[in-house]
Amino acid sequence: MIEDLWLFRETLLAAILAGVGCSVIGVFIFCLRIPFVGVLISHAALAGAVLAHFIGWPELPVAFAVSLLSVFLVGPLADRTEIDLNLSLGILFSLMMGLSFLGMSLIPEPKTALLGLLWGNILLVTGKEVLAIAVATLVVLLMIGLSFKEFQAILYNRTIAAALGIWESFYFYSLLVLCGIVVSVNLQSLGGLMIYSLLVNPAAGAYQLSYSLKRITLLAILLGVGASMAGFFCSYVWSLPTGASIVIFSSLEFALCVFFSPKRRRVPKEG
Amino acid sequence: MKMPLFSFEQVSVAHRGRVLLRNISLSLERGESLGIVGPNGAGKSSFLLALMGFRKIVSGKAEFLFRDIRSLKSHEWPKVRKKVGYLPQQLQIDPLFPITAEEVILLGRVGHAGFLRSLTAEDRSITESWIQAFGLNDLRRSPFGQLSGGEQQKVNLARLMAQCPEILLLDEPTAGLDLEWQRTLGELVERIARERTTGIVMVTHEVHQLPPSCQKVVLLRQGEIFKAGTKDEVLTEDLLSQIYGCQVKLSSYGGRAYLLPWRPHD
Repeated sequence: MIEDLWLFRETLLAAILAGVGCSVIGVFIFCLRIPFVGVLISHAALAGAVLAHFIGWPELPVAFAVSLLSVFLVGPLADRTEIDLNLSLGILFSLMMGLSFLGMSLIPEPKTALLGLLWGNILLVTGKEVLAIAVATLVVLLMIGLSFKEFQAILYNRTIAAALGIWESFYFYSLLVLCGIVVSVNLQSLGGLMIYSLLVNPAAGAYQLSYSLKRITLLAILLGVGASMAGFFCSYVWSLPTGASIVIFSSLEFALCVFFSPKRRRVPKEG
Repeated sequence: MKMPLFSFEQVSVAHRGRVLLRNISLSLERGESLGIVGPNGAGKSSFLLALMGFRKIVSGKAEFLFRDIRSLKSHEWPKVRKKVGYLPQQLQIDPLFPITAEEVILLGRVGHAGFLRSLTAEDRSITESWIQAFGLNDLRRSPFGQLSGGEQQKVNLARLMAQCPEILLLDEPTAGLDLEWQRTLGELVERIARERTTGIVMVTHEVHQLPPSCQKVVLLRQGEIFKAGTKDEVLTEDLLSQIYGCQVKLSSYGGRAYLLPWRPHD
């Protein structure tokens, strides 16, 4: 049993790292109320993969580059046109979808490999990919750890953050780019649709439990890693799809957090 | 030689293709308080936003904290802004947002901390001194979003002071608060004006909000200065009736001027 597990060490590591990276960045996405950014990034990656197919370059680097480009654009697009960030996400998301489908209709052979970015397969993750995920997670943790107070100010209120003498646009756009990095490195293993649950559920669950952003971030990491490990072991023991098991566990965790939330305690009956 | 904290000469401000302020000439010295009074839409808030670099100055000569505003690049603004205590009109904060009152006050030090640096012991002691000075010790661990409007503004004012600002820009700081809180916050602003050399610009459409020590008053109407001068010169029934477009009655109580609408048949 243990030796069998050793065969899956890369999968387990990838699951844990995804749990850490996604749930940390998820806290910020949750507080900014832009969970949709996950969907934008995964479809931008799909468009990138389609593009790679045409220019004959390797898929992953191009997918990564296009995802990053999309998050580079989303902030300035919203700010320049003075529209809500979610609308800006919607505009870019539909553009990326359109480009992907246009490209795919021009490719005669089967598109399973391309669509793999949307479904993902954590069992096929390689050592090299795990290393890339580890480096990306480390970069994100460092950046967030070192600039936590600036990010907190931005989540609180962007205008006030700017008025405090924080270089608000720099930090705000970096937050979006960090999000792009986390989502795109984890796409291959988790898939663009599954990753959504690790972005949103641990953060949403942790948010129920505390009024301290630091504590929420730490709790979200615990919940994220918990869900990905539990999902991995269940899929290992009962041969269930890993991604789907992770989604189920993170949703269960969220439900438990809501149930035990001190923020939702009922008003005591009077008299 | 005196150096004004800001000086505007013939300044016009525009946003989204609309001129918000025209030919504004004004200045403020250290330790002075300036009241900006006018009806809604007169351009009072736009004036503060222009000072902060959030609205574009399209003509005239504008200096703020010894820098020429019009030549400041966007990455240079943070250095200017961290010396300014800006209180925007009351914001709606998500009541569940995870930040405590103490953390809001600590935010005042974030602009001073610098890139990739954490807050120092000095930052914490400055914050602590304002928590004590404003009597906020009991509220410090409370979630900010769950404080009352008055408590939130008091915390905001402490956050401004923790910035060690050279100038305070207060936009309707007591709007929407009950009488007791208006008095409490009014007294705090007055105390700051008397005890410190921080310049204060206070925007309001209710003249009784102006602190008693505020001697300089500007009346704004439709983006232009209607009258500027000392409190006694500017706050007259005649001038106020003209800018508000209705007959007003002025009465004085405890060093503050109060404005009442007046109808001939009352």
